Amino acid sequence: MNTPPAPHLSSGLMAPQPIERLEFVRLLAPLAILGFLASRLVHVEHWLTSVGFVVPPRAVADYRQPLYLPPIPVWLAFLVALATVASGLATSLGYRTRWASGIFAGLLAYLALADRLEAFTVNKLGTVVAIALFASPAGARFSVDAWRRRQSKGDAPTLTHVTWGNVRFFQALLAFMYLASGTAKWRGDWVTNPHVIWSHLHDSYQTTFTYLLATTVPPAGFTLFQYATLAYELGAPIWFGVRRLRPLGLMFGLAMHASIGLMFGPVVWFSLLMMVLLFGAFAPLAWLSRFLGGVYAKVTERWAGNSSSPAGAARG
Amino acid sequence: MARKARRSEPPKKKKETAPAIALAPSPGPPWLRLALGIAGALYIAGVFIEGAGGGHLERIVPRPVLFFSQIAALFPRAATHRIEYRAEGLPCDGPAFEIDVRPFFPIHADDKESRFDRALYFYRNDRLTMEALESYVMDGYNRREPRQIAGVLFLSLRIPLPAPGSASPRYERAPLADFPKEQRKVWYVTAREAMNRRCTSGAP
Repeated sequence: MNTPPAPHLSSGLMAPQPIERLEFVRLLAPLAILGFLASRLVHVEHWLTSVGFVVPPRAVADYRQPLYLPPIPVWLAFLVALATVASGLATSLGYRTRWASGIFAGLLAYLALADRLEAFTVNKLGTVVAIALFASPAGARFSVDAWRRRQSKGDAPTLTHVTWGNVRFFQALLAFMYLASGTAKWRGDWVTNPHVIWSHLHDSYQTTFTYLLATTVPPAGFTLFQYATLAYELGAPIWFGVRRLRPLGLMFGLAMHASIGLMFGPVVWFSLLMMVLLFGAFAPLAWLSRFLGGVYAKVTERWAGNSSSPAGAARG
Repeated sequence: MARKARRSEPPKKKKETAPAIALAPSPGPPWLRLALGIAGALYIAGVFIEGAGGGHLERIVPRPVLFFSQIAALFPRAATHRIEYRAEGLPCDGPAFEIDVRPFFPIHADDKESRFDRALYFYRNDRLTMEALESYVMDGYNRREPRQIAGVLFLSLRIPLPAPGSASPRYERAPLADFPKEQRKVWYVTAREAMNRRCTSGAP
């Protein structure tokens, strides 16, 4: 374990970061990932076993099959499904977080590589998020682990911060992911064709909300949304790098992902995962503290009903 | 005097009033933390390079690792049509007819995240995968239905999009028969020899 190097708070890129940012991601990102996986895990035999359609091994690895993993027996597939749900929930609760997040990350990596047909941004990005949680002190606060630690060591200090890399990773990942996405759009059709968003409203992703928008919003509205999105993504390092612009970037990002989630049915889990990462990485600390403290206190005080509850561990 | 004394307080006094923090220890020795930091930075660089389309990282990064960085380039192009993938069954006697493949692909059966749609999206030009898909669809269909098939035809529908601002119909899955021939593009059809063999052997 690293010994804590700084006893006081300072500012700057490499300054310790509030633990709330990490714990917010630890609490909610696994739930968004499990939400995405749920519709697949209920049919796991059609996903990971030869009960369903299996893409045969390819002679040479390519982007569609970077690594061939053969189908597994049905009983093992059910075990994988159960272990994924259990480790994801345990990570979210902060119960034996190191083990849980490590197992969750390993299983997510397997699920993403096992079958390209079910590999989407959520389980690819989700794998990396789980690895980042595994490699961090996630679960040190607002967690079952924190409560258990306090039970065994009553005078343990309330942990308030983590070293910079544990939070800066998520912040930098988001900024550069948006920048990459904006660049891809710029190189694609988003500058030359004003109807890109409109063109994606008509297929099987369509929701009632999409249909309502498509029938009421004039084309210029979609074009405006298209260029605003492009500006947001291309400018992400600025929106999130300049402290004063951060609330603007956060609000636009949350609104954009909420719109995408409402408009493109199954994409809702991607939107929720991105919103969790955005909020955890860039929301004002007071909001995160209030949310985590409030939820934690409510849940644990109801559960334990006394001062030795995990809520006490969170409050210190 | 007292005022002067306050002014002469050493700077470290000011530091002591800064909020004290308790740092949660990160797991692993310093060299591992450094390695993780470098790996994290390289991953972010990979996401950017892959998404922005500027590099060919598959030359230097193992594909299974690179796979996890291919997450950023979402919807870079406008859709030109609404695309749907469909299947027809080919019986030994009589014309081809549409097969509803959704019962054989229950994961997201009703949207384009269905395994059938994804298989055709990624592998429609890959003979080996299409043959495996043919075998899977035929098995599934012939086990359930009394009218047996000896082959399949996989196709996509390329349905024109409504013009911006025009009346936009609600999405619904219509029968294949509702779509004119010019909106259909055939990607795979069972070879005639295989059909003949199956039909003459009596075991499609």
